[in-house]
Amino acid sequence: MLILKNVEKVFNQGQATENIALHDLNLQVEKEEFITIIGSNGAGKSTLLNVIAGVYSVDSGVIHMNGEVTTTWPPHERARHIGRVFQDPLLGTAAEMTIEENLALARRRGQRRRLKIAINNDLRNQFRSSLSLLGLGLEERLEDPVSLLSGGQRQALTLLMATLGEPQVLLLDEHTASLDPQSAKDIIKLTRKIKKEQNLTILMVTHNMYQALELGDRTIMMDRGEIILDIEEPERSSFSVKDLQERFAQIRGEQLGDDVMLLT
Amino acid sequence: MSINLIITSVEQGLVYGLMALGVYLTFRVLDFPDLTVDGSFPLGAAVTAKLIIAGTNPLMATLISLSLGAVAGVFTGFLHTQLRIVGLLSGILTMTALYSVNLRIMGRSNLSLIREPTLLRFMENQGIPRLYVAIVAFLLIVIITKALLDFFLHTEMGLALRAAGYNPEMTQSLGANTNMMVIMGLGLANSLAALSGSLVAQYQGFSDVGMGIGMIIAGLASVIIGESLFKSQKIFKATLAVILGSIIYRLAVGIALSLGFSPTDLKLVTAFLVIFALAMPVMHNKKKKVNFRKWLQKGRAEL
Repeated sequence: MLILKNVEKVFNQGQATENIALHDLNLQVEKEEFITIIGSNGAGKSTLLNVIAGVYSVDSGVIHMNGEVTTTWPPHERARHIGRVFQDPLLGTAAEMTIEENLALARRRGQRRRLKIAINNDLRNQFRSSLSLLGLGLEERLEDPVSLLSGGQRQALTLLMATLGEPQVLLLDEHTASLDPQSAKDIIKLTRKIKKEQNLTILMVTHNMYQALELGDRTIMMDRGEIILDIEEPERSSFSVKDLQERFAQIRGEQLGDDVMLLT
Repeated sequence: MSINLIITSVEQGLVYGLMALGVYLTFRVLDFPDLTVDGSFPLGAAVTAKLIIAGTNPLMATLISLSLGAVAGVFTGFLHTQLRIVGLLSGILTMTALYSVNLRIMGRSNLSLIREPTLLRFMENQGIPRLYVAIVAFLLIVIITKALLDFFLHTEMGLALRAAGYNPEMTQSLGANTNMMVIMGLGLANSLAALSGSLVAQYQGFSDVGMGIGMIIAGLASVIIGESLFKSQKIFKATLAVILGSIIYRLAVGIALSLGFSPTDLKLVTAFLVIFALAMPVMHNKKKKVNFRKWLQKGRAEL
């Protein structure tokens, strides 16, 4: 489904601030797999997602998606296959546009955008029924600008938009990290539901180790631009957060220092 | 205020309102500070004057001007999206180049259309009384243009264009080519500016190479005045506000002139009007009082 081969990404090459974000990274993702990605700050988790989505170009290496080499594709072309949700709820929607306009925009993923009025009553009904599944009452507010929604509501809408237009892969970049605890819970619930209903391949970056082991069916741990641990079911179900920490210490010969990662 | 002043201001407000719609499209919708307008507006005038004098049908001349305006906008878009030149500079480059182009087209710095068949004269010949001919013609054109623009901004393509201005990253992540949208938006905005320039030339009876100077500020003033009337996220109201803003701006200019202001001082007045309008939010926000000394020091540090 998605293959990364020997991917290398360096920021500010040759300067004092040079930073190897991804180093000789190899990853093979099977269709409909749900992978959680953990690692401390600066481990390269977000860079990995951005490289897959085409926001950053790679310095070397190859990316295959669905049998096509997408290494040099611009982000809007890769979006045909990829839906994204960002950490910042403000990033995933156009605040000045209405809920229905945002949905209509997302709906044309991977298709030509025509000179045709984007919204009609049939579509409105479709939008209403999709939105009602979120359970947030947004189906009654189709014509409200998104700027009126709360962070949790916006993130739920973004998640819905990211699955419209039939992408095969969903990239979630700490998509609950800036939400209040209740909204975060709701979004996780929604994520599970989407996974169940739509057979998507999901890569989800998270700070939370418990969440990482609980969700999905494979967990990878990154450190300094490399994948240092890759565990799948059934092995994974016997793993505890403590095991993860021990394995990290074993591999890197040092303690996993990032407190945030343990507590959240 | 004489009735004449009002009629003239409404006429001007409508015809320059087309250009202001273009400015709204770039500054507000695309969030792109496009200065091409100062060149594409006189481009429209120059092409129209040249073609009409050469015997082209005035309607045809107007349409050709409009398309050449689009070319100018697309060029600016190309500079910005493909050659990665900063947006502001891209517009200035095109505008500067157009100054020479406009002179080349006209062959000298101004052309008269006084004795030539213009669109307005054509309508006059259809029996519309002379006093109302400009207002009827411009009202018709503005209504049609506004309707088309409103329609466009509600199409699938139009939604992508608006989203590209509001949130480019997200727009790309949804599979829309934001570069294409910027190029298209600039093309559209500058075709509106050229249309405006073409009609102004036919209306005032001449084309002058300097008639585009300060156009962008006049357009911006219209947009800002319109927004102060009513700021709406609904496209229909937003574009209506721009046109009303343009009429009020021309009315204000007319009044200033009748009060004895010299026409040459108008750009100074307009510039201060825009500065004042832009500074309003800063001056209102007491928590964020501008500390000028700090501000200057920061500026120096950045230099």
